[in-house]
Amino acid sequence: MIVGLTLYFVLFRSIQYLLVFLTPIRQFDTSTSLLLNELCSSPFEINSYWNKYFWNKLLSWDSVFFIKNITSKNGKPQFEHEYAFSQLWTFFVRLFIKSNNDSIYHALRVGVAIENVLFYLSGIVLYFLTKKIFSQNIRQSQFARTIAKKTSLLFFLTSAAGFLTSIYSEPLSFFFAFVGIWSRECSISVPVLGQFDIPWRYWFPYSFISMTCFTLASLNRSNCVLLGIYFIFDLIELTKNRKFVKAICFPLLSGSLMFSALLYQQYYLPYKTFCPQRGEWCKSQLFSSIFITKTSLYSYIQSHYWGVGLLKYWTPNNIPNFLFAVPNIIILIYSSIYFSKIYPSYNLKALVWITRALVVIVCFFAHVQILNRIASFLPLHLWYLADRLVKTSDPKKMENPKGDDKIVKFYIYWLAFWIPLQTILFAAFLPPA
Amino acid sequence: NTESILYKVPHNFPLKKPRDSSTYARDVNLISSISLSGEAMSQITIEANTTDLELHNTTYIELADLQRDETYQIKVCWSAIHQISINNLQTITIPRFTEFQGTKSDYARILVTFQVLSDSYPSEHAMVPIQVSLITTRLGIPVDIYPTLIVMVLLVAGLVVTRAPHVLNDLLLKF
Repeated sequence: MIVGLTLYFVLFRSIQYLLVFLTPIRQFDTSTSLLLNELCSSPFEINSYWNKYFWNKLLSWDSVFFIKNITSKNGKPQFEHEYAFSQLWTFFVRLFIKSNNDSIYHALRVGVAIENVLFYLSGIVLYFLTKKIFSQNIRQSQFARTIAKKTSLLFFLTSAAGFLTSIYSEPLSFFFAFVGIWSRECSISVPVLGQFDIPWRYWFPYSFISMTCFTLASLNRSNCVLLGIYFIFDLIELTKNRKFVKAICFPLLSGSLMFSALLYQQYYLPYKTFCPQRGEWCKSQLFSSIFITKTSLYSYIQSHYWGVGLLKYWTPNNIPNFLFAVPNIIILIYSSIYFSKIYPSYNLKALVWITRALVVIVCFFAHVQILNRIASFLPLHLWYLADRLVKTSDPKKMENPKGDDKIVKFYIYWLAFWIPLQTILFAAFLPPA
Repeated sequence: NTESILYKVPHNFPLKKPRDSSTYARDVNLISSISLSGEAMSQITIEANTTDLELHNTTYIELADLQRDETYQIKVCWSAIHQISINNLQTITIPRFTEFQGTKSDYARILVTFQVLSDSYPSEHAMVPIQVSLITTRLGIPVDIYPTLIVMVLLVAGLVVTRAPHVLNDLLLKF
């Protein structure tokens, strides 16, 4: 199984990198040369064959911010808006960069290598997580293995496509999110007959591993804060079952620690760094002596620099961006209906909440097309696709699919076009970002 | 980052004839220019000072050797490592023998103009390099995108011919 998945991972990535290589050198946004001139001292190095035809094309969109932070002297952001880009990811990549090599191409190559390793490892972790979720008894283990294989393969075919060929921070969050969910799944007892419970012996995997992983995933990518819904769900379930001590020692403790870490990153550190001289968001302090402001630094950055906010993206010129996101909006909504109404699964209930919350937040508050890039930290839609593929494993049935299978087929067909096309769009520095 | 506009040269615009026209500079404030002589696209890199936020910091670039009735894309690109905003990107026309920014010419000039403002905190006081491109359009599409479009069309054709979506679907069903 692992060998098969590995081979397909290598094959898909090779095709994507070949497409990057084949993309014309002249990009739509011509600023990469300006970036390179500023960050790289040698024109000879910039124009060497492989840099010109391959590596330079990977410095598109947000990669610019990541490469700037990774190659800066102290690894710290220079400007306020750069705090929106994961410092954890920057720190992580810098750990692997030799201190005596200050070439940005060395940093880029190391970053891309780590990106691929994390992406691959996330797929492998997802395999075991899926097996765990879908094998509640021995009879189901063959089914679970099949669905796990397909899920991991679908994960490697993520709609994040070209972005993950570069040095984006997403794979780090994928990895932590999947390890965290897996650890939680191993800790809880699903109430087939009895009640929801978390045995005391699982305190460490639940309250330490899951909590740490969810926290790191959220510190890295703010959308992963939704993983905290797992703790809210478990808290409600344990409280309903009158297991108050466990509710405090497991989800309440874990959730509080995760919340505290986010509070520290989003409120305390920015306040200490910028306030009160910054004005603006610093002025929205809730209480005069406390660092908590109405607007977090991240929200302020998103709103001030990128126009993110309730319905702010709902303008006619963004209709194409909504169309880009439609396949993932549909598949995410259908997967949440599928696992809550058609094949209701108790142990997927929390994930259904998280998936719905993500769709609502992205559609109403964010630049909607980023759903294609960030949705993969949640496996629900992958499980939906894999489940339907297992249940209709006869290719003849898929010739004329009906209902859900029609949606699945369209989504896979869309992926077949979207992944290579988006890879080229990314390498050509063309929208959508 | 990119900001762009399209500009169509009017069919009756009095374009200069290369041999019999000249620009006179009264002082050092010469205006940069992009010339499309014999080219489908051209580009210059300028440095904008983000220190001075006064309106007189507006950048002007003359667009030379354009054709009547042609539409051009004017594209301004700068690296995202500089948090600046480009405002009021537009074209202006200067009648002949009219003094403008210390220069005068005996032909009507087309200029692209924009303002560069620092939009970061803390404010960046630096000379920010900015690339300005002048690109001919064909069928309403700037010609610099054509190579990428061709690659994408070939790719889609290849996917259709090899029935790649079908193959992928089968792979996922059988895996």
